[in-house]
Amino acid sequence: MIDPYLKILLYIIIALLVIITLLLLVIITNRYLVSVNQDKFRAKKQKWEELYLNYLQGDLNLKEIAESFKDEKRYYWLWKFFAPYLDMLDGSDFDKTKALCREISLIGHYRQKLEHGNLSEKATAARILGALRCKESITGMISLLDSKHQLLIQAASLGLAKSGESKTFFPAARALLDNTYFTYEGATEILAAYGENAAPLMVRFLEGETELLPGEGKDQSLKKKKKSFDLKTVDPSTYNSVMIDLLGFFRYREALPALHGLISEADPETTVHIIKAFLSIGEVPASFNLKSYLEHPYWVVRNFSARVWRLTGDREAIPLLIKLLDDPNWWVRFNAAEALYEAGENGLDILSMKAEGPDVKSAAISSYVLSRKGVELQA
Amino acid sequence: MSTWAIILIFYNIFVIFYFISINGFYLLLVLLSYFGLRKQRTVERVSDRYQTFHSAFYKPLTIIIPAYNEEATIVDTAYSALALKYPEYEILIVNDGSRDDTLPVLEKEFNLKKYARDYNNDIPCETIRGIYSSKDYPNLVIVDKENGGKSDALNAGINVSQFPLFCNIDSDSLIDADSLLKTIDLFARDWRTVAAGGTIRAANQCRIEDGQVTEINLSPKFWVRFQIVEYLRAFLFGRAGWSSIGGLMILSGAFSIYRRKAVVQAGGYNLNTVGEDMELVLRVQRVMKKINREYRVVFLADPVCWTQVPENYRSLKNQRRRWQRGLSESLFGNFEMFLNPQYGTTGMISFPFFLFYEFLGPVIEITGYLVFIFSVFVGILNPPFVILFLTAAILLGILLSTSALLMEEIYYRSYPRARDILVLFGYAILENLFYRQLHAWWRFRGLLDFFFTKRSWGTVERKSFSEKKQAVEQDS
Repeated sequence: MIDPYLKILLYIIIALLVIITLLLLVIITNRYLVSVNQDKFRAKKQKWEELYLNYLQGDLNLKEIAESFKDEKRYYWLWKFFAPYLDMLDGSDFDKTKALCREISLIGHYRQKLEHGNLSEKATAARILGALRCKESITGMISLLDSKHQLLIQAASLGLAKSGESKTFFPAARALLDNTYFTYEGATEILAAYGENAAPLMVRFLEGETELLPGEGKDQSLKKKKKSFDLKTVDPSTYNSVMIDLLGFFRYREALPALHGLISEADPETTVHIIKAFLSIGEVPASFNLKSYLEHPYWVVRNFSARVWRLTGDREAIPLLIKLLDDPNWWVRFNAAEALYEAGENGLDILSMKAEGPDVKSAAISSYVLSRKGVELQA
Repeated sequence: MSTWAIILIFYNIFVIFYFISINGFYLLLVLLSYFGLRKQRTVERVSDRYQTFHSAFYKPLTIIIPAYNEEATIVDTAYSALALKYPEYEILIVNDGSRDDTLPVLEKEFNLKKYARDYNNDIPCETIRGIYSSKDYPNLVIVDKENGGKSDALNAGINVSQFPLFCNIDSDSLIDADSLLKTIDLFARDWRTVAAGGTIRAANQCRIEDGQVTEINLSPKFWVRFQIVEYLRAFLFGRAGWSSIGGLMILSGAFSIYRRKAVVQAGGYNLNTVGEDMELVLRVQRVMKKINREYRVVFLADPVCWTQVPENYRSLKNQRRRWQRGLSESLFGNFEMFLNPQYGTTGMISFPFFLFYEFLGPVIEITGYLVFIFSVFVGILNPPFVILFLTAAILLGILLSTSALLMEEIYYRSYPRARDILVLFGYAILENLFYRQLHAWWRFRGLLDFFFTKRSWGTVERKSFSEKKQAVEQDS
């Protein structure tokens, strides 16, 4: 007669042995299946590639090529095949590819997932339908912007951005900045996917058409949770800053008048964004008065203004740059010294003189910049 | 029945319940990590990282690499850092008063030149003797300072760093080219993130080219193979599981990224512990709570850092003793978090878990074995029960290790040869037959070191990535 405790232990041991053996089998089977599937996909990809290129060249028509794809029900494989082309193609080739994706039910499948799938399926579908620039799905993707799930908002924003519907920029910006945990930079990165086509709308917003931005979304729970640290609760100037950064990123010259119009009444943070945008665009408006910004009380403004000097080459601002070599902030001193170095022989003489001068800060920064540039001091 | 017999019976019952609860916890972590890793994969699929995160919006970052007597590996490590894909970063190698040729080797390889660079003194550290920049690589900076230990070198690096985020990498470690992008994504997608880290894997026997692991091979050395299984378990279900419920207490010192401001607010790395990585994670959490700032510490399994793990008994034993001592110091240095609801999951679940199971684990395990044997000897426990119980315990351990292998197989398949994964499966079994018990003994010794304040770092035998052997005495 076996003790009941021993019996339980024996059962546990047998169960554990069975589970461990099953794990081993799962590992082996998984490795085998993955390898088989990879081979299958490779083979299919090779076959599809040839047919697809013939289709793009016009040797096959839509019906003929669709016939070759129609038996494939692994839609993610189809997506994996088309994704690199969709990222690169434009014009008629893109349209033909999109027509093919529609014909072989790839679009239909993901539209269905966008509406009825689980969270992961919806997010994947939004990304894929966006890349396919599927106009019929835009309403569905916009509705995801009201989701409580950050992943869905991210996928929908990216999907909308890729779909090329510039007018959805503002709802996406609102959702990303108000209703997710994304940092300012993270949200801007996603919005950058809208590309230059959205730039005219952004300029209109900066020029005063603030009604382009929709009202606050339904779910404000995250917004309420945001506490101040380095990401502040979203205020209207944040939207300005995002758009200014993006206009700079797109190097959108046509935005210069609007940016210049904003700077005189901008708060210090927005001023920094505007000056950074000038730097990115590589140009400043003709009437831009750099000198007042080199003397700005906020060090970040002084810092970027020193960098902007290279765009203007304004000789009258050189005395202010020399003054900035003694600035309390290291970055301001560094960029002022860099600007002086760019000023040619005159600037080089000033830096050499300062490097050997009695002022500790200006001497240190001048020798640092000169040593970085490989200039040997005589002393 | 004598008092001793009653004590023995109670202790046996305690050990059995302890065993059931710890394994129950671990099985729960396996489940949590399975779903956590699945979620990470979905996020990966939806993000368009490679397209979006190459623009100018990203926060620039400083990579700090502390180096003490690392002439054998430092050049490979520097090249690995230089090969990273990231829009804007600088690399700070902090030579912590090395007694070997670490600095001359760097000078020769990277064409260094001393220059006057200003830096903050936000955190106290030993004197900085000089700062060098490379004429060939503008983003490579070498800080030469008086010896003060790894934590002090990291603090010096933080003082010299100029960017809002910093990443620390061990000088004997290499990180995958896109690891920074993947980890930084965690900061971009959540403003609450103050610290994040990735997985550590063994680089022994892997092929390294231009500072990158280009071919993953399984080391023939059995100490290394045990550690591979151990690392998979620790990262793929330990940290992934804790991270998924917001209870992460440790990020690897070999590769983690922090917000500089948060670390400066916390006072930098603690010089008085050998577990500076865990201690910092805990202290940052305490400080964030004190200043009423929401925070998150997160782990992502995919960014990989490759490190040389010890290949012999002595180095491994020393490392594990040090880790146990570090764990103990970190827990007791931040004891206010224990069962403190202010700290949420970390205070109420992770901290008690680490205290009862990771800190006390070796004591219970070692004494458990001894008491079991003694109980059989004096007739309190019958031998069949003990044999079956120990068999079940070993099988549970095997189940946990093989679950980590399954996770690796489902999500990553880093080892390209099927044979390697089967060999690791064998080691997952073997590990529980003697390595685990040996490990418990080392950890027990680590606890003794903690209580009797052994300060030495011990000896670690270090090999260069290009196979030159070198013994390095670390006695910071």
